[in-house]
Amino acid sequence: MKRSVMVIGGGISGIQAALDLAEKGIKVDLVEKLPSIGGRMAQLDKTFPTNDCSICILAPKMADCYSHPNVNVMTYSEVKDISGKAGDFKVDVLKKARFVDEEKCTGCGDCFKVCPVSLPNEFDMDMRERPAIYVPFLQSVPRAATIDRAGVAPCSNKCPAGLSAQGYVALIRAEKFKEAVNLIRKTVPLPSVCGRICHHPCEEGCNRTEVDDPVAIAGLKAFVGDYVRQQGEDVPTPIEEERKEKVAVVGAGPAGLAAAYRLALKGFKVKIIEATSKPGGMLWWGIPDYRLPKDVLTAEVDYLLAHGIDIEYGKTVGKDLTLEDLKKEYDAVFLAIGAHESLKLGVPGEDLEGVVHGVDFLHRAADKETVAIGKKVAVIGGGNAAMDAARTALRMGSDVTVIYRRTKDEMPAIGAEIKGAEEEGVKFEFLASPVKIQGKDGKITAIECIRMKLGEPDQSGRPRPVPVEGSEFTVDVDTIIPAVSQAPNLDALGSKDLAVTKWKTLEVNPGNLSTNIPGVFAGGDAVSGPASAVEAFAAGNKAARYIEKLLNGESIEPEPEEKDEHVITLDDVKARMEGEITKSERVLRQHIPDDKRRTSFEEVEKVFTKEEALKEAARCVSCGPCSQCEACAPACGPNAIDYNMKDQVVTLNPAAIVVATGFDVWDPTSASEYGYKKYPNVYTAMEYERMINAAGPTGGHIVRRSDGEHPKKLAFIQCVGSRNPQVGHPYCCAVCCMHATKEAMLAREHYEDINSTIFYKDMRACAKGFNEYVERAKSDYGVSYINSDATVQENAETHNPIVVFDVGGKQQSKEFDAVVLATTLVPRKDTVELAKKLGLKLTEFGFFESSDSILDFGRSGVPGIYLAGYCAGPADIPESVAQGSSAAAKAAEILANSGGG
Amino acid sequence: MTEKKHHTAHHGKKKGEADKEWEPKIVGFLCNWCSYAGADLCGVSRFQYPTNIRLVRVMCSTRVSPHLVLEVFEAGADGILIGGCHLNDCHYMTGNFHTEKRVNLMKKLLREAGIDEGRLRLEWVSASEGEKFSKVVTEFTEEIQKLGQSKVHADDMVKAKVAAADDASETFRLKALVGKEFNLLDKGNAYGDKLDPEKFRGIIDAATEDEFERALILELARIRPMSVKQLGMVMDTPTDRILRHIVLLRQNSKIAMEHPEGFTPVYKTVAIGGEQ
Amino acid sequence: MPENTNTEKEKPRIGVFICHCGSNIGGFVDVKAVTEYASTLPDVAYATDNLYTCAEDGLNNIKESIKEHNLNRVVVSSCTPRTHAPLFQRTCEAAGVNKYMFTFVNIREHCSWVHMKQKEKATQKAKDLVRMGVARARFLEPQEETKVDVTPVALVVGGGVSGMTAALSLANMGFPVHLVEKEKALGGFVKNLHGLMMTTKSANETIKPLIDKVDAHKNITQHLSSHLASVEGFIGNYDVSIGGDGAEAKDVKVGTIIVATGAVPLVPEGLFGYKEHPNIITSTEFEELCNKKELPKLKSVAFIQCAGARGQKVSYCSRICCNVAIKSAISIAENRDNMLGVTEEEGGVVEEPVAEKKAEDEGLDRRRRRRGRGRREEGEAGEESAPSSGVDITVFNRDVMAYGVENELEFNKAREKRVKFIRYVPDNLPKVSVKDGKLEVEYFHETLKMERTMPVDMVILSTPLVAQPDAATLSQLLKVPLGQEGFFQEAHVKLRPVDFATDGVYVCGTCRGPADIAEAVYQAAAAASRAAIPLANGFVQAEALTSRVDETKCTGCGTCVEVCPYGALRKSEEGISEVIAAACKGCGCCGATCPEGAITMTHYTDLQLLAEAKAALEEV
Repeated sequence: MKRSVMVIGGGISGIQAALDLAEKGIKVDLVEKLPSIGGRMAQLDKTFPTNDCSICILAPKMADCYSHPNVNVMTYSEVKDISGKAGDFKVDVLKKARFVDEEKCTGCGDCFKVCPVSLPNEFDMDMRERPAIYVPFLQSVPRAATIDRAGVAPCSNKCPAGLSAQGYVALIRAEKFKEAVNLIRKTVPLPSVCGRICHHPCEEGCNRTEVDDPVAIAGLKAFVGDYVRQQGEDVPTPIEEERKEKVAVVGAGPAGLAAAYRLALKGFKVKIIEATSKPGGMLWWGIPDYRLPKDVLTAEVDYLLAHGIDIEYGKTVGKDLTLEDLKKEYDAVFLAIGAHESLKLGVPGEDLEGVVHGVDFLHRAADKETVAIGKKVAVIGGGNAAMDAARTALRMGSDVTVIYRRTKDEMPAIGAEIKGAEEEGVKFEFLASPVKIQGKDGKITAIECIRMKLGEPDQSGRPRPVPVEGSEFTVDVDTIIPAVSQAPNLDALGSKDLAVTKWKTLEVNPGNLSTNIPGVFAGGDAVSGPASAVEAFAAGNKAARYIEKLLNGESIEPEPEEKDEHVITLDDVKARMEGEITKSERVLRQHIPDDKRRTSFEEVEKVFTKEEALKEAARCVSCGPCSQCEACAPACGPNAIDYNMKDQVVTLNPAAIVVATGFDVWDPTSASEYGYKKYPNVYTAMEYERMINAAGPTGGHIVRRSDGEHPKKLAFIQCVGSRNPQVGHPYCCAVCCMHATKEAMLAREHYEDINSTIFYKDMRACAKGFNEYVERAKSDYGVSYINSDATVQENAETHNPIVVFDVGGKQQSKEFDAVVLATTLVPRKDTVELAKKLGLKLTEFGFFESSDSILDFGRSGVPGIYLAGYCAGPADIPESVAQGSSAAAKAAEILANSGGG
Repeated sequence: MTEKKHHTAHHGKKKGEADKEWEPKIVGFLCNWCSYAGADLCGVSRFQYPTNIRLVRVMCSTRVSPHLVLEVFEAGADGILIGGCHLNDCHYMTGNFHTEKRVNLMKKLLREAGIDEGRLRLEWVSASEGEKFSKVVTEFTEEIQKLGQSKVHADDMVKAKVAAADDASETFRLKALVGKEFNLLDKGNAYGDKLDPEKFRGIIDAATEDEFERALILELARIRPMSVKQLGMVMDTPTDRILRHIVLLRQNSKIAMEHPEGFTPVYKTVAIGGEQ
Repeated sequence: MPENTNTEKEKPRIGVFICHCGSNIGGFVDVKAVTEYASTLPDVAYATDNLYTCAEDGLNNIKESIKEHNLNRVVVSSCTPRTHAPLFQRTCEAAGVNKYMFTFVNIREHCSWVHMKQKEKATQKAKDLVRMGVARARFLEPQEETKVDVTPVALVVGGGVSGMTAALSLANMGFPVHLVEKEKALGGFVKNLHGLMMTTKSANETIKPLIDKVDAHKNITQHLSSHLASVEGFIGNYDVSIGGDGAEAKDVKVGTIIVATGAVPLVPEGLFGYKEHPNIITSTEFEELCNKKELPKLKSVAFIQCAGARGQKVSYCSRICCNVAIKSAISIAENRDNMLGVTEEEGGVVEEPVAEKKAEDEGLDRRRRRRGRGRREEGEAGEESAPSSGVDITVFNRDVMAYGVENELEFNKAREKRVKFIRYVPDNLPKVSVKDGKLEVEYFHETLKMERTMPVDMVILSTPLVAQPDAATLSQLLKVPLGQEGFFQEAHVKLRPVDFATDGVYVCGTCRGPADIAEAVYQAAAAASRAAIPLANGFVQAEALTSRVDETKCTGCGTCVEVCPYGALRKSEEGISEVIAAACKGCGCCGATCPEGAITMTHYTDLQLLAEAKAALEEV
């Protein structure tokens, strides 16, 4: 096997080392953390002292390196682990999934346009934005996109149906409403409905919760569903391929609708058999109008049915036809009959007149039947059904008390529902449980309860309520609505062969939702017992997936459900945004007036307007950062995008290692005397460098952040943070004097009316041609040099920075239009970690240490590992290049002497 | 000398094209390393520009000899753009300095030939100047639009003059002078002495004029044998100058008397090789 | 002009492959129409379109079509050659078509993407561009890439630290090295120094291990007291004659050459009273005094920086002198190795430095307190440590070039040792005068804005390094250039710091420009790395983009030799130009220059370029 050398870092120094070795016929693995090689030099506009265009001279080298047959460029990769010794290292390299096939991607950028996520563009020093699928810069090598996906957003992770919440929020933010609805429908077939009634665990997960309030994710879903429908853009998806197989879906509730819709999209002939006269199941019969207007539900169901789904109302399996009949006529059956039987309280007096069970009550209310309820109503239970019953009863003119055995904190109902009930005047009797219903003449008079206290947690994790002996009390009521729980009505199915659990639900294989009868699947509340709509959607989706497999003749063996993706935490987000998440108030949905709420069934919470929705969506911090909206894959012509790509660990066996990891730019925000980030017109040198680059964020224009004007008086302040032991950088960065001189010259080249002043400690122009360069800056470009420390204040009115300095012991100040700070260049953040892995020593300032800095610069303390470029101490470009070659020589020596090469 | 402007679209059109709207035909020679990369970046960034330009890639702008440019003008190009790296940025170190000198010569020859020198443009475009590239092409296209269609196909005299400019650019004297210009003026000679640029340019200017006139005589006398007087009239040049050129050309066997018309000799260009 | 010169060669059979690039081209250009049009062009044997030509099936399509249609030229019309040409060239070669028979037409970056709103015109332009590509393809010729054997031996000129390091590195890589040194011992400039920066060891002690390694290495042949007498040849194949003092010249064959001849200090004739008093000396002379243990007893020393540099005798900053002065100042302050010839006790009783300092210090102190930090330019450091030697040391400077980590820390240390740093400006140089046999430095205090006088025992002039007097000779011998100040000029100041433009010759150390030892050392290793590339391969291969001289046309005027930046052209024995293909980079400057039109640029011939450009003008 041919021996190889590993180069860590794809900046100019690493590129040079790699090329020097490769050209000697040595195999090189170049490991670069970012998606492109090029390093810091790629960010520069020009280079001193010739004012060469940086990318002009660098890009051919990048291309040479990438296409060299002896160089294996591994971008977006990191060293994970290392063992062995010189001549025979073993290195595990983590090749992070970029989710784009580097070979297939043509770099066309079609995907960038559809990505709804906007992130600060690090390459442009955050001065403009980039999408989550991106190339760091237009001349990137490889010119292949990368999806910036660090994990899954907590909102998406929390969704029981696995809907990418961040995805549709991002699409809404980007005003891609139709796309948002399409994304939602991939998981949740009824966006408007779900947005209104979902208990939105996504919002509980939202990382914003810890900063201020979660993003109103559900509200946004309701908005976008409504908006797209109202715009008339909700056109059914054409069915691509007609299938002859037929599927019967029993029950038009959320599970049944979801399954029917999925199967219809696949071309199957689907028929829904619905026992009642309306579609929606519990959505129709269990959720009152003031939460979910019937026209919204009807419209969304109609959309689904428009995909060729046949529905027959008023037909009950077990009564009008049998499961056997269905089996004969259809190739598969999905049972989604829901759980519509109210469970009894199991206390004496439950058969008295005036006891109306929750589900029946809501059913009848939904059917606009007159339900005879009295003036004083007690609702038993703390779930959503109880709240719905209570608020419905209230609207019918009754005085309503909810009796619940635990406290408000333990109530399973959605917070907004509890709040709504409270606002509307529903009374609550917490820590109370009915023991007996008292009656007179067969009619209820009161309910006798016992006080409870909270005990040890039970199986559900909630504290178990324990009765307090002798604490009985009565509440006078004339109507009692028990709403404790529901169960499926399995008798209705009339099948004796169907396996049933001890909880009287249908028994299925949870992996694929198949029942014990081949071809018959079941899901939703009928299987799980009463649960949420979004869980029912998930069940319907899953059943559809396995029914399709069955009908395709594939195995329906349950697929392993892997969900090992890292869930993004607030700390992750903060790390990415450098600790800054600005607070912003959650946009609240408008409510109809309270008095109207008590008397009318009008929808209480108004759906967001477009403006509100955009404002609210903008609060999303893009945790992913990729929102997993899946918009890019369809936009990619060559099908280069693969969302299932996985991180890989590649083991390399280099004989020698060259470390060339470069530098970071110190953030001068903490040095308040320079006013960076406090005053808008104070820039770091790297920001300025990007600004003057023709391909940079301002297209090569130097502009003031405060007003977009180009500055005429420009100040450069040197040694910001450096040559300063107090901030831990007593050293000189060795390049900034020339850098500032170059920047000042370029300013004049861009605008004839710019005058630059450089405040410096010592003008260190001490390499070939540098002193002459500075002299030229003075004579030909009118650059002034002032030998002084300097600090910055601001003219608050004009936002002109004022530089305070002293000459001859006298303090002076001068107003400028903008100030550029030559901030310290520091070792890369991950240097310490890398040093640990490689066993390298660091200097007191965090640079890699050479074992002999006089006669063997670049040889580290570990045999076989060599250093090059800024990571080994301040160096300019030619020095970094020479050091890259030098490290290559040392590595080549090792190879020559270890019998390989 | 400036070119007479043609605003009328009908001039110079081949038959059957009369109703087709005239669109400038522009050829661009771009160096591989900077300006071609800049044009690429322009595309990647989707900066738009008019469709008239057709780009030819060369490794270095220094490759673009006057002959290439003048022959393409002779073939009917309305404009030619040469793009190179900024000075001091050349991938080949000094290539673009030579380009600059050669473009000066090309412009001089265009002036001699009566072609507006604005039809030839030299621009330095770096790999990061995508937007600049689009601006340059847009401006240049507009400029050519204003200058109108090349008269090469419409006017034989124009064609002959451009051909003469091309031939002149290929003469030993001009090539040697311009070839050494950069080294002599900017780098110094073998002794490190630099020549006075003004003086040197003066020499080149005079040589250019001479060589062009000689080339034009040859060109014209190739088409139709002519007397000194006729040449003087057609070329709008004093007959003593023409005569001086003829003497030299005769010495070099480039031209010969075909027949006398009375006492006036009529000259014809000597055909060389098999090229005629 | 003849229509086609391929008469006795194969008749062109061109395959044209036009890429949709999904909708990137296809969305803005009618690719089908372009393909149809392409099939009508002369010599086009086959034209087709692909959704993605660069994808696996696109590439297979090229390969299969070459076989099926017997194609001998390929035109791909898609994106930019700058990224995709190598891929398609490899594909052609895999199917047996020479890679130089391939033409790239860019209809994406240069057409569809820049004319997104003009589909009709963009389509027309794409047709024109394809026609141009086909026109070019018709005149293509297959090329063999030049391969020149390399003698796997290196030559290093200069036996100082750089030369030795370079030689050792090459020798360690297994290559025989000839090391030529003009003096009779290795060690160069450094061997005459007393101390070095960043070490307390003496210079000789420091470089001894290096000399020992060179002496011991079997791959290194030393040629001491020798010089290069003549050099002939080019990369991989140099015939070098090494002349010795009176000895017979030795002829060696080498593949690559490293120049590491070092520099010398400027002798500051006429500056700062040099030679007017025995105690006005250069920093190099100071080192020699230290070496000889002849340093006189001193109570005060003044260093004057930039003596002759930065616009005086030379324009540049000599990079190392400030750090050398700092090193020497610390050595004096610490009385290192008892260099002052006084005991510590003697030194310890020396009275505190000049009292007059007090007044000026008040203002400075106030300023320093207010700033809380910053440059203590007057060296009025803390009270904690007085120089143990008791010598009052002042460094008159313009800017203290203590760049980087170590130098800046040393600078700080010097200030802690109470070394004073006083800034002067070039318009107002310090004056050194001798009064009553005593030395005085008159200077203008920039902060206090007043003239001051300082009596001193010794003035040390930090003079810049200047080029070796024989650099020009070597430059002519090797045909490599010198820069403005006589130092060797590297190929590119940024990206090719140790290469010469001419392949095969490399440069490192102070002959390239002032550098400290650490820098010279990594430059030397870098030069070794570069020089080892041809040696390791055993051959040099160049792309066939080289110029060719028509011997029948060349008159030997030499213009091409003058303009070639790579020394790739030379006069042959017959006096006409010949191209060293291995050194030619293919810019085409010589071809455009040649007064006789005798030089052709391979693969970018007049014929090809004119065919391409003129095709742009044809009406369809």
